Amino acid sequence: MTSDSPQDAAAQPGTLTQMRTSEDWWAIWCGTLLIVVAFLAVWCNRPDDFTQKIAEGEVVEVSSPLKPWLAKPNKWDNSPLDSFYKPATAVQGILGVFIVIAVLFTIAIQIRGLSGAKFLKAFPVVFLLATLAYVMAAQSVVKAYNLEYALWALMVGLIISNTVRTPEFLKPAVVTEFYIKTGLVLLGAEVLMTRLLALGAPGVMVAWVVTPVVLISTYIFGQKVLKMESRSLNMVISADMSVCGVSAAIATASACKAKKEELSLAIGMSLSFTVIMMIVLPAIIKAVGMDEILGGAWLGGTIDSTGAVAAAGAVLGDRAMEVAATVKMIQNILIGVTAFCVATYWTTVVERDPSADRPRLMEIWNRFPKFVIGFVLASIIFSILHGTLAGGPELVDATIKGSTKTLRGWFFCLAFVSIGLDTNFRELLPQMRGGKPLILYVCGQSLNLCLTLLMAWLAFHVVFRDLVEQAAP
Amino acid sequence: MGVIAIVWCVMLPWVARRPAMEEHLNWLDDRGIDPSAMYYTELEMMDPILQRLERQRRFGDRVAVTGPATPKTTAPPFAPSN
Repeated sequence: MTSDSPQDAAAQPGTLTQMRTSEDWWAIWCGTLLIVVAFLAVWCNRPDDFTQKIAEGEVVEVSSPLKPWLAKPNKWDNSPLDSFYKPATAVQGILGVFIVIAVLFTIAIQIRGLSGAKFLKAFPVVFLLATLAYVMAAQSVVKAYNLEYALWALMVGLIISNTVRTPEFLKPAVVTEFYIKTGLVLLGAEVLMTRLLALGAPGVMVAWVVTPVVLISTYIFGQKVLKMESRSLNMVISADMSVCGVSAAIATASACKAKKEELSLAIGMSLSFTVIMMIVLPAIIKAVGMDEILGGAWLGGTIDSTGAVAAAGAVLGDRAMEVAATVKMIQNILIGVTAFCVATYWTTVVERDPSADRPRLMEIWNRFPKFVIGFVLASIIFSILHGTLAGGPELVDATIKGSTKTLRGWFFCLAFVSIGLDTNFRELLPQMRGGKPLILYVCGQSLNLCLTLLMAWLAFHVVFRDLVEQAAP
Repeated sequence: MGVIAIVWCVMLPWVARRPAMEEHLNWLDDRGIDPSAMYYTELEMMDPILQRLERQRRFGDRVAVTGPATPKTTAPPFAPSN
């Protein structure tokens, strides 16, 4: 995730060599292979008269035959063992994920010219740590307070690296960026542009207008007023606060080549503030007597984490929950555009050689994080399949729910364990110097709260008032 | 590691069994809400909303984007109808 200098970029090998050896391209190959297999499995498993039933308006259930073979630890209340045995297929699914990732990454690492055998020797331990993090995150009370697996995966890794130190033999499987980039290509399949208009014009006003305005304003504030030492930390915090928390932080951090400590810090702050906001905001909305739809839109546009938005919205009522979750879904989908724009800005402006008049196209191409192409292409292709194929939504949803979503989660979990294993607590402290990241987050979130409320009020109470009253008499 | 074992195997299960917390967890389960969901595809409660949106896109019927979280709900939409 660290930045290459322009000189490094200029000295990079040709595109064909990169396609065979670079991590970015291999993330695309691995992600694409998994997506294609997942989609073909669903396609071959569809009923014979599928198209006809869809045309007749029948509800058709399509499932992935891979689903029982790919799983993560389940939610548990009293015993951690329940996460493996309720339902009984969980162990089989976890083993399935282990085999898929172990085989795929061993082959990829070997072809890239590194030691596949060393990776294979270390990977079971890293996978076990990721499983432990997932089990910790799956406890029902932990889940109820939005303490996502990313936090526990980081903690597990950090405890090891800062106490007994990460053993040398584990390091070949600590491939943070490879896990993250492959996970992001898989996430691309879930970024369905066809759902961007889910709330119609009011949704566009709240999510499409406020999100980029807050992101750009916060970033400029960080650079010009706070004079943040790290542009990438500024960008990651601005994106996770204005877009949708952890998933946006992961995508943006990779797009702007942020340091792993910067991603850890941004996620830590986002999760902490989310826990507070998911309790405080619904209480404020109830106290001032704000109506459900306006309150829901405000929650959806301001609370970082997707699950926390739904939980906070449900406190206000079913309508608020739906509006909140739908606004957040639109923001989720904006991740694709955000990651692409950030990657383009970084390669053309931030990393530009100041001594050169104009950056050469080849230089820009060399510096551009290629996995973003895989991420955006996966999003475009799945959006087209979703929007144009007969029964597209059923097929795409079955592909995502049956396999890619689970694998994506495991890749991110493995990435956060790797970040923890590779980080010293002392490396995190300089990032907090002067409390600037905290000030940036608080100021950006304050702007977000004000602007989202204003825009939601304009959209739902002024500009589209008739439409809303018709829908919610 | 001992602390982690005590917190996750003893303390958190004890908290989960407290009547108020048990009620809160059941309330979340009933609505299909996982507050730790990272992306909308991880939220069970989104399914009926997305199904309704899809019916609206496919058949242009007057179904709502907002309303109780059941797939059967019908009312005028916020989203432009086909």
